[in-house]
Amino acid sequence: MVLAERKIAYCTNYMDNRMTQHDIDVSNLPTIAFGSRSPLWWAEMLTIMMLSAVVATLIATYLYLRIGFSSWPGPDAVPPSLFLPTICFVVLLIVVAPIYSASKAAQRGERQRSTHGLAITFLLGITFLVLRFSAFNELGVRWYSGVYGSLVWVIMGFHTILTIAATVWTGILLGITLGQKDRERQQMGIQINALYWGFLALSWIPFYVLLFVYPAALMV
Amino acid sequence: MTTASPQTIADGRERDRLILQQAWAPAAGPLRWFKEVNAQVIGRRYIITALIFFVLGGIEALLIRIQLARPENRFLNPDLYDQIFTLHGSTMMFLFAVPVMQGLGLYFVPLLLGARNVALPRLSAFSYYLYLCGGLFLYIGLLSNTGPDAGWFAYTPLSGPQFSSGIRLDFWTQMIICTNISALAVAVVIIVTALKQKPPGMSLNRMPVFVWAMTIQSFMVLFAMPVVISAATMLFLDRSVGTNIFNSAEGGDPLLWQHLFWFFGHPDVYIVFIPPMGMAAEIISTFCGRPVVGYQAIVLAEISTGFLSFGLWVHHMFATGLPQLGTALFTAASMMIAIPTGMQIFCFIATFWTGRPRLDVPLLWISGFIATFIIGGFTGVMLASVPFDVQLHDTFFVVGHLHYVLIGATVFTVMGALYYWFPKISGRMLNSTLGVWSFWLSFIGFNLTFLPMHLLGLRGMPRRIYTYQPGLGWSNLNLLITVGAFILATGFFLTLLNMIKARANGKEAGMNPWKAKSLEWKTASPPPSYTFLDVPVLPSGGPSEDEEPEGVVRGFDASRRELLMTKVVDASPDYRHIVPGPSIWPFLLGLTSALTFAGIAFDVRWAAIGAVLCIIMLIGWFWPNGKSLTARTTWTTE
Repeated sequence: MVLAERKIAYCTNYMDNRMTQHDIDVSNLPTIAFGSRSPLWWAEMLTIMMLSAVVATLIATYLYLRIGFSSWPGPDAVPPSLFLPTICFVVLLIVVAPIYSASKAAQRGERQRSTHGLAITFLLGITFLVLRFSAFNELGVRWYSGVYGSLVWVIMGFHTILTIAATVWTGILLGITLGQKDRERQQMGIQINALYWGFLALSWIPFYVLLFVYPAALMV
Repeated sequence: MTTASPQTIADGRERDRLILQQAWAPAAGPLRWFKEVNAQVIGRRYIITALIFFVLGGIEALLIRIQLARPENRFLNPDLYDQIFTLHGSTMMFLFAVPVMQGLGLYFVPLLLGARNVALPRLSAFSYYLYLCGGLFLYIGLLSNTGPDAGWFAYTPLSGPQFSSGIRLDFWTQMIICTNISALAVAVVIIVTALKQKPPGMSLNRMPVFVWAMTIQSFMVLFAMPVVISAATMLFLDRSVGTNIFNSAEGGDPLLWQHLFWFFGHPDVYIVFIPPMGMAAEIISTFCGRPVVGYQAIVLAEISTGFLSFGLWVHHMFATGLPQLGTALFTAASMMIAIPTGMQIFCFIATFWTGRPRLDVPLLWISGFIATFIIGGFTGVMLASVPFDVQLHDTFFVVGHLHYVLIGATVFTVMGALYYWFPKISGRMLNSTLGVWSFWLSFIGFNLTFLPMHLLGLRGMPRRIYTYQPGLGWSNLNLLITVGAFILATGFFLTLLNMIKARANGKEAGMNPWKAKSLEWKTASPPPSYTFLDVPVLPSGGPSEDEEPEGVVRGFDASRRELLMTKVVDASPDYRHIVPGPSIWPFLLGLTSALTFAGIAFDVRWAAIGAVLCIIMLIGWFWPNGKSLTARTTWTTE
C-alpha cells in the first residue's frame, strides 16, 4: 500500500484528472529493451558503420596500390605463409559462438550461462591476440619494406587494435557480471559486445583474402 | 535542503516541476563544469567554442589579406604565412563549420522533438572535450612554431617525410584525427536521437526539416570522417615509422592521398551545407508565416545531395591527369548535384512568394544566403567543366567560388540561425538595428572581398602564393579585396558584439518571440534542464499544417532521468529509457585521448601508454558505481 502510493507520487501528471483522450499513458511500458528498440544497439550499429567505412578505405587503398605493380606482392617480397593467418582466422570465427550464446543467455536472464560465455570469449580473445602477435613475427616482411609490407602491417595493425578493444571490453563485462552489479544494463552491454565481435570476424574475411590468399595464389 | 518538498506542494503542476527539476538537476560540486551531460549545455559549449575558433580563423584570414594587400609585402615571413593559411583552412573546416552545425544540432534536435535530453548524453560530453582539446592543441602548436604548413589538404608528397621534416604535420594529423572522432561521436548521438526520440504522433515523414538535415548530415559524417582519419593515420605512419603508402620511390602513390582526402573533403562541403538548408527552412517558414513549400521535395533533395556528394571528389583533381572518361563522369555528377540544390532553393523562393515575409534580421541573413549561394553555385557549375577547370585550377577564381559557397551558405545561415535561436538559448533578444548593420556590412564586405577574386583568377593569380610582383595587374584588386575583408570582419564583429551586449542587458525574449510553430518555442527561454514540463503528443495522420501538440505523455517515473523511446518510423511509444546523470568520466576520457593523440605525434610508443590510460578511463566510465540506474533518487526534505 505504501509502495503503491509512493509509485504514484513519483509519476508526473498522475494525480490530476486532466487526462484528455489524446494523452498517452506510458507507465506500463518497460524500462529496458533489446535489439533495435534500444538506442545503445543503434549506437553500436552506427559505430560498426563507421568502422566499415575504414575497412572500405583500406580495401580501396590496397587495390589502388596493387594496380601499380606488375607482380604482386612486389619484386622482392616473399610469398606469405598461410598457416598462422588461417589459424588466427579460424579462432576469430569460433569466438563469435560463445559471445552470441552469452548474449542470448543474458537476454533470457540466465546469468550463469552468460558468465560462462563471456569467460570463454575472453579466453579465446586472448588466445587470438597471442596468435596474432606471432603472426606479425612470421610475416617475413616489415612495414618499411615495400608497399605490401606497409599494407599488411597497417591493415593487421588496425584489426588487432580493434580486437584488443573487444577483448578488454569483454573482460570488463565479465568483471561486472562476476561482481553482480546492475544487471539490466549488463544484458544490453553483452548484446552489443556480441555485435562487435561479429563485425570483427566478418571484416577480416576480405582482409584475409586480400592479404594472404590472393598473393599466395599469385605465387603458385 | 529544499524548503518545499514535492509532497507538500498542493498545486500538481508546481509539484511536477519540482520533481523534474530534482531528477534533471545540473551537475553540482567544484568540478561541475566537467561533469555536465545535458545536451543543451554541451550544445551551447560547442556553439561558443566554434565561434571563438571562427574569430581566430577570421583573424588569420585578415593576416593573409594584409600580407597580400600590396606586391612584395614583407608583413609576414613565408614560413609563418604558410602556417597561417593552413591553419585558416583547418580551423574554418574542422574547428568551426562542422562543430557549429553539430552544436546547433545537439542543442535543437532534442528540443524540436520535445525530448528531455539526447539518448547518449555522456557520449556527447566526451566528444566536446575531445574537440576542445584537439583545437586548443593545434593552436598551442602554432604558438610554439609547430603549426602545420602544407595547406589544410596536406597534399603528399609535400606533406610527406621527404619535404616536410619536423613534427609540424605529425601534430596536424593527430589533431585532425581528434576533432574528426569527436564529429563522429556527435553524429551517432544525433542519429539515435532523431530515430528513437520523436514524440508520439511525429512519424518519420513529419520530422522537422532541420532534424532531417542534421540526420542526413550525421550519416554523411559517418561515412566521410573515417576516410580522412584513415588517410591521416597512414600519412602519419609514412612520416613516423617509414611505411610506404604514399611514397612513390617504393611503389606507393602520392595521388592516393588526394583521392582519399577529397573522398572525405567533398562530402565535407555538403556536411556543412545541408544543416544550413534545414535552418533556412525553419527560419523561412517562421518568417513567411506558413509551412515551407515542398516539405517532401526538400527532404528528398537533401537525401539525394547526401548521396551524390560522395560521387564528386574527382572534380578537385581534374588537373592531375586522370583518364578522360573518368573526369567526364565526374563532370556529369558535379553538374547533377545542382539539381537537388536548385530544387531546395526553388522551394524556398516559393515559400517567400506564397507567404507573408516579415523581413526581420534572421530572414535578412537567409536572403543574403540565397543570393550569394546562387552565385557560388553558378561558378561551381562552371568549374565542373574540365577545360574551364584546368584553365583556372589553383587560381583565385577557385578561392572566390569556394568562399561564395562556404560563407554564403554556411556562415550567413549560421548568422541567421544565431539571430533566430539566440533568444531561445539565452532568453534575451539581439538588437535588430545592430543586426541590420551587421548584415549589410557583412554582405557588402563579402562581395567586395570575393567577387574581385574571380577576376584575379581570370587574370592568372595563383592561390596560396606568399607574394607577387608589381605590374601584373593584380595590385589594385588585391588592395580592394583587403579593404573588403576588413569591412566583412567588421560586419561579423558587430554580431559578436550584439551577442555580448544582449547577454548582459538584452530585452527579455519570452517563450516565443517570433511566433514560431515548432516545438522548441513551446518551453521557456532558456529551456530548463528537463526541457519540457510535459512530453508532447502531436496529431498523427497526414502532413499537418498546424503542429500544435494535442496531448501530453503521462506516467513517467519522474524521479529519475527517463526518456521516451519511440518506434523509428511511426513514432509510437515503445519503452522508457533511463539515462545516466552527470559524470566526470567523459571529461577524463576526452582529455586522456587527446593527450594520447598529441603524445603520439612526438613518439609513437606513447600510443601504448595512452591506450592503457584510456582503458582505465573506460572502466571508470562503464563500471557500475553501486547505484543502479533503475533506482529512484531519494528526496532531501530535511
